Amino acid sequence: MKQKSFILTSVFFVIFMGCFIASNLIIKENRKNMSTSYTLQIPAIPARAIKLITGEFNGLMSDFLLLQISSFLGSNQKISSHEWQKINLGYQQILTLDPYFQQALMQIQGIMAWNRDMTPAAIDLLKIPEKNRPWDWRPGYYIGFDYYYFLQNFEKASEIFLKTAAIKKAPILIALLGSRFAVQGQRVETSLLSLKYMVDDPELSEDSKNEIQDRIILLEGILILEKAVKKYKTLYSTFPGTLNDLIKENIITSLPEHPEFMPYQYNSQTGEIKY
Amino acid sequence: MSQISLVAKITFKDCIRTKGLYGIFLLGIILFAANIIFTGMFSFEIGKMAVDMGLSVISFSGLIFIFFFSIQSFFNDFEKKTIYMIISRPISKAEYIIGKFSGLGLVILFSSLVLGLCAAISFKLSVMGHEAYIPQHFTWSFFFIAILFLTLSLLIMLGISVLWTCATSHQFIGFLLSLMTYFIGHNMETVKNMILSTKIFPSDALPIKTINLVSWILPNLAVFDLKTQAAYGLMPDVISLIWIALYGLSYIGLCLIISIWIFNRRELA
Repeated sequence: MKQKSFILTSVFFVIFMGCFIASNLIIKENRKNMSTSYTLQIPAIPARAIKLITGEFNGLMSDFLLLQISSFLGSNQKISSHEWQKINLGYQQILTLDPYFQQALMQIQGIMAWNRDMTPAAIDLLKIPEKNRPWDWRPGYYIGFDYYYFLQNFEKASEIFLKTAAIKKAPILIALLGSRFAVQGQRVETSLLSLKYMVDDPELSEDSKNEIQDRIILLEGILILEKAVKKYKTLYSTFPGTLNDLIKENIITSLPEHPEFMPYQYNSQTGEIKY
Repeated sequence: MSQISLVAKITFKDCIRTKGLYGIFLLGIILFAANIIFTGMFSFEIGKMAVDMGLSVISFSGLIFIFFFSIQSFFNDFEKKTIYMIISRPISKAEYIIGKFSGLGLVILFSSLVLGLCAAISFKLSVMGHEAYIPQHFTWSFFFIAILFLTLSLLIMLGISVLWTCATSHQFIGFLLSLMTYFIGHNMETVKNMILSTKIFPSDALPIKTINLVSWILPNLAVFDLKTQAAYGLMPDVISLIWIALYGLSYIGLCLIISIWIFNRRELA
């Protein structure tokens, strides 16, 4: 009786073990190439409700959601517009759970913003870390870049760059870009005010101070010329042919100084002045 | 006082005897490994993930201990009749409740300490060689303050589970009520903000009034959750931390007093 029971148990053991090994081998083979996720498993709930699910484990959940999106994006498959919407929702959820998340911020700018249809959504997302990371110049810099590069909105780009430039340890390049776009967006006076405020910062290095000072001189020159061109237009109902016409007509006595000893660029068709 | 410490000692020893703490140590070791693997999947501010993971494990293990161990420990005293052995000695029911809470609270403190150290070491190991990726404002002092507040929220949950255990006669009901309190405690602020942000209801509408009323009965556990702030070193001002600590301690005190009051009226026969 005992022997019969032992044989029966052993037979079942061998059958189960055989089935387990065979099935496990097949499963492993089938899933060998699934190193990245081909489906996006973002909970279909509004971002503001996500905290109801995660409770106190919101940090961990934001990490998990980001890994999900990274894995999906890493699969290099063509992403449909519906999937972009899901990715957008995923990022919204991540930033609701952790509004400081730098990795999410980098991914949004590095991947999502470069899809032209998603640029406005990426800007909206970047505004969350911009608000919550007041010590970090990157969110503002990325938003400004997106406005300038993708949306061609120089006025908005300049406004954001100049605001971001005021953050401690922000690269001086941001202020210079802000002032350049200010000329294109016709916001020279605002730009001048921001730069003058920055140059008074006692923590600014001497080199940076000199660079900003040069930019202030440039912008002041542009402002003088813009006003003079405007006056010329009022007097003669046309733009001057060259900037020297302004001196000939006694509107200005001399052309403003250019810190790099270059001539100001002037478009006689539109009256625009650049440097 | 000596009676309270006696009950606390017995409870603490009981936890060690049932090998519950070994599980916590094991969890600490797993945390070590998981943290290092997990943080390797990220490229920026990797210290943030290490803190997320470390503090979440402390919270998670504490909750498991409360829901599955401390509630059971209370009911075991009733079911195995050990309660009669205790209260037949010169130990009052109040001393029993406070002693039991202290013993279980000590286990939570001990587990938070061990897992907190594990989290700190695994954080150190995770960011080793990546110092530039530690969040800019991260400080160790705030990391440990966050653990302290997390432990306080666990002690509140323990106080609540003691209260529900005394108020109900069945272990499962005690467990469900404690779980419900935990979910409401963590979410009521989010629900309130959601309702207000939709602007469907005015601020004096019934749902808002209900949540406001609930916030005077159940604890707002979300205020003790400083994990995200600890990960980025965004320390709230000291005064608000003091108020939070006072809120937590007073809530525990109230839970214990009500528990004693209920337990004194309970027929044990």
